[in-house]
Amino acid sequence: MVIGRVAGIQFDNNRFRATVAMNIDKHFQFPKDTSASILTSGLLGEQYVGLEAGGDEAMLKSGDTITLTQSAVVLEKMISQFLYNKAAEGNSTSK
Amino acid sequence: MRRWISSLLVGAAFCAAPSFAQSPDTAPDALVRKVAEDTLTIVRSDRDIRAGDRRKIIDLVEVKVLPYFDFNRMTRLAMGKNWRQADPQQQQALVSEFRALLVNTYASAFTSYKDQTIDIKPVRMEPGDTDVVVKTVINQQNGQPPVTIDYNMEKVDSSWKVYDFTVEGVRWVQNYRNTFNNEVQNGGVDGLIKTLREKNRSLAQASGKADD
Repeated sequence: MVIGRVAGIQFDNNRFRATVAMNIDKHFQFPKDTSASILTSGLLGEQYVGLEAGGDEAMLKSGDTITLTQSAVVLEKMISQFLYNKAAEGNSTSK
Repeated sequence: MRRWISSLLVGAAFCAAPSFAQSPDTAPDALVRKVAEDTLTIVRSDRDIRAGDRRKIIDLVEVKVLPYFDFNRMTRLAMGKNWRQADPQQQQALVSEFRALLVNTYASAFTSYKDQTIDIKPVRMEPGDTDVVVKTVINQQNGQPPVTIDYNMEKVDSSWKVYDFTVEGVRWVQNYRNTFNNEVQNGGVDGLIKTLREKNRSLAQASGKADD
């Protein structure tokens, strides 16, 4: 379910990574060890940030940072790597 | 899959024996570099390890690798909201089995080490950061593509420890959350512990056969 919107995406040139700012409906409280993953809605759908609640007793407050992040996984890349590894395995076992 | 895991293991073998003490000024990437060099020197020169001696590889991993991984934190993160459903005894079992899972995975990979090299990138951080990412690249021989492994490290009491890592874009501990949660939904915390034990047993046995 939609619980908020991405407010902005910036590049942190010192830490060499992207920073995503999000506005989340304050009715939803998330533990400090909540994880954020970039997911795609279906095969051709748009990307969204999926939040999965953690187990920490302390909650995230406004201005806090989520460090448990998963970047967008490019499915085609995963498949080609899988196929490459399978082929490599086949070569080594056939000796 | 084995070559990929092999690279994961090479990447993970960056932790020194406790004889390497961290000063409060030890930079996380310098730490990774020093430990990788120390550990790989052993791997490359030890005849038994090169021949695939699993017991010796596990001992090496236990001494060199584990001190720099915060298994308590990793297990708590993988458990997420299910951590507090577990009593202290179950929590201890979970940490133990999750630790064994990683050791078994790495041990299997190290038996297929084939002269990979590791390239540790200078860490991009601000002074005073206590949560950083150290990026590494495993270069493989035989024309295989390089493997990227990023280490998520946290500074706790002046010591840097790994609490997660990303291999080729997939974040390890964080992704175990789904698996663990499914297991707990199906069979409770005890069900998860049982599954992990079985997994560890089969990993140890499978490699035993491979060593024949």
